Amino acid sequence: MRRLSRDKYIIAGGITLGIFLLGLFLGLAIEGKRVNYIESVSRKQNLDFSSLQLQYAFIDQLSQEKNCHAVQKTFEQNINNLESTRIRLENFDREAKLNKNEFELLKNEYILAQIRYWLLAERTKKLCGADIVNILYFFSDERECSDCEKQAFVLTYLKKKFKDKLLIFSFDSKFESEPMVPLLKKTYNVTAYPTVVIEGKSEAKFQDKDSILKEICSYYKEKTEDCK
Amino acid sequence: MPIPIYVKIALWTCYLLSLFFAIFWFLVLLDKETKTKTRKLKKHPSVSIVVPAYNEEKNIKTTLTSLTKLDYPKNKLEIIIVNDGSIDATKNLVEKFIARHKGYDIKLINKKNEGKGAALNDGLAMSKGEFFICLDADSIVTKDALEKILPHFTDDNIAVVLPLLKVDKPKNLWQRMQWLEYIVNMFYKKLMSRLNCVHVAPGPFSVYRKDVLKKIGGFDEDNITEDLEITLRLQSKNYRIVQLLEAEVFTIAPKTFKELYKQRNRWYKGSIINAFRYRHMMLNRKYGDFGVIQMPTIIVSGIIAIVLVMSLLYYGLKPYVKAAYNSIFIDFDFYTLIKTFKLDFNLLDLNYTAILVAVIMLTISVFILRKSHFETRERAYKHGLFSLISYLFFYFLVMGFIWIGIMLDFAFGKKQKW
Repeated sequence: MRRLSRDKYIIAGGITLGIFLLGLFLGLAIEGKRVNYIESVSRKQNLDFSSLQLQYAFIDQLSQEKNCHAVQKTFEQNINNLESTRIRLENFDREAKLNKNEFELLKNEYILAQIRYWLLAERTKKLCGADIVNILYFFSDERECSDCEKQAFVLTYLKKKFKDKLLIFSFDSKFESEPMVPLLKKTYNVTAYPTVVIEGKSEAKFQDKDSILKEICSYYKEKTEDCK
Repeated sequence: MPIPIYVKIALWTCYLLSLFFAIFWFLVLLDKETKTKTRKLKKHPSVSIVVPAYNEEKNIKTTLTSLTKLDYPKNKLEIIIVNDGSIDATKNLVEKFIARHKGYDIKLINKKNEGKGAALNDGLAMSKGEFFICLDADSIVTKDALEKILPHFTDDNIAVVLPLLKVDKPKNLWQRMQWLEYIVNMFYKKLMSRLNCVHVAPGPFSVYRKDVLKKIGGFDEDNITEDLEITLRLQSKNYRIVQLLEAEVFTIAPKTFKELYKQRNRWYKGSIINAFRYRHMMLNRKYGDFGVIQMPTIIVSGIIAIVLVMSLLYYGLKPYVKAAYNSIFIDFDFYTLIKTFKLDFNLLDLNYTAILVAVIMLTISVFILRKSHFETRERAYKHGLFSLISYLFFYFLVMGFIWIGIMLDFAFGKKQKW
C-alpha cells in the first residue's frame, strides 16, 4: 500500500475553503457598503433637487432672471452627479448577489430623478431662455438591442462635446413597472430600441454622430464651432 | 460587461483547484523531512549511457565531450550513440569523436529512423552496465553529476534518479523565461519526489536501474513521449522515482515560439494521451498520492490553463475591441474623449474578492520563485528583471495558448508525429 497524505488533503481543503469563504464574505460586506453608499448619495441628490427647484421658483416668482446663469450651473452639476451615480449603480447591480432588490429599487428612483430633471429642464428653458437641447434615449439590454451599445457610445461622445448645452436622459426598457416609463414611451411612440428623441422628435433606429449633430445643431440659437 | 454564471463557476473552480494544489504542496514543503545528506559513492558500478541522436550535428560533439569529462572511472563507463537514421553529418562526427577518444568505451549504432523509443531500446539491448542512462544529444552533463546521482539508489525499489535540469546559456527572452520555468519546475518536482509523485523522467540524464528497465519491457517505441510513458509504467508498478537538486545537467531550450510550441504541444499532448492510458491509477488510493493528486493534476492543469486564458482573453479584450469598433461611429475623435476625461474613482468600485485572489496567488508565486532559486543555487534576477516579469505575467498566456492548440488538435483529430 502506498503512502497517502490524508492529513494534508484535509488541511489544504480546509484552508482553501477558508479563503473561499473569506472572499465570499468580503464580497458581501462590500456589497452592503455599496447599498449604503448609493442610498446616502441619492438622499443628498434628492435634497439637491429640492433646492434647485426652489431656486427656479424663486427666480420665477421675483423675476430674478439675472441669476439664471448661476442656477443653470448648479443644474448641470447635479445632472452630471446623477449620471455618474447611475453608471456606478449599474455596475454595482451587475455584481450584486444578495442585494439585487435594493439595487433595483435604487435604479427605479434614478429613473424618476431623471424624469424630474428633464421636466425641470423643459421649464427652465422657457424661464431662463437657456440654449439647451434635450435628448431622451430609450435603450434595452444587449440581447434585445445590438445597436444600443454603440448608440450609447455616440451619445456619450456628443455629451462630452457639447457639455452643458446638451442634456441626455436615458431610460432602461426594463422598468416597465414604473408607470412613468410606459407613459413616456407612449407619448414619444417608442416601440423599438434604440430610440433617440431629440426635442420631442423621435427616431427609432441607430443614428450616427453626424445625423444627431445636424439635428441638435438646428435647435441652437447660437451655433458653436462644433456645429460648423 | 456581465460574465455569464457558468463562466463564473468555471473560473472559481479553476481558482479553488489551483489554490488547493498550491496549499497542498506548500504543506509538503513545510514538512520537515530528514535532510538527504550528500552521500559519497563507495564503489563504482558499471554505467551505460545511451545517446539517441537524430540529426544532431550541431550539438553532439559538446554532449559527448561533457560525457568524457565525467568524474568516473573510464573502465566503468560505456557510451553508446544510437544514430537514428540521421541524414546530416552526425554519423561522421561521432566516428571522428570515437577515433579521437581511444581510451573510452564508445560505440556507435547506425539504424534506420524509427524514433527515440526504438533507439533507446537498441541501446538498452546492447548495454552492459548495471545502470542505464538516457542522454538527449542536446544536453550537457556537469562532471560530478554521476558521482552525485548514483549514491541515491539506496533502496532496491528506487528505479530512477533524476538530476536538476537547467536551461543552458539562455540568449533570448524565450529561453530566459524557460530558464526560470525549469528552476521552478525542478523545485516542484523535488517536492513531488518527496511523495513519490514524479510523473516524468525527462530525456537529459535520467539514471535508471537497468534490471528494472528490462523487467518492465524497456521503452514504448510507439509513443510521442516515451519518457513520460515509462515513468507512468514505473509508477503503476509502484517503483520509486527520486528527484535531486544537487547534480546538474544543462539542456538547450527552444529559442523561438514556433519551436517551443512544437515541443510543448508534443509534451502536453503526450501527457494527456498517456494519462488516459494509465487512467486506472486516476484517483485510485491504491497508488497513494500519485494516484490521488498527481494523475488528476496532469489533466486538470491543462483544463485550468485553457479556461483561464480563454476567459481572460475574451472578457479582458472584448471591451477594448468593442470600444475600438464603436470609435468608427465618432470618426475616431479620441481627442474629445481624452480632453474631457475625468477620473471618477470610488474605493467601493474595486472588486475586493478578485484583489484577494490576486494577492494570494502573487504571494504564493513570489514565495515559490524565491524558494526555488534558493534551492537550485540561482538568483531570479540572473537574466534580468524583464524576463522575470515576462515569466510571471506573460508566460502563462503562452502556455494557455499551447493548451488551446492541443485542445483544437484533439477536437479536429490531428495526428501527432514525432
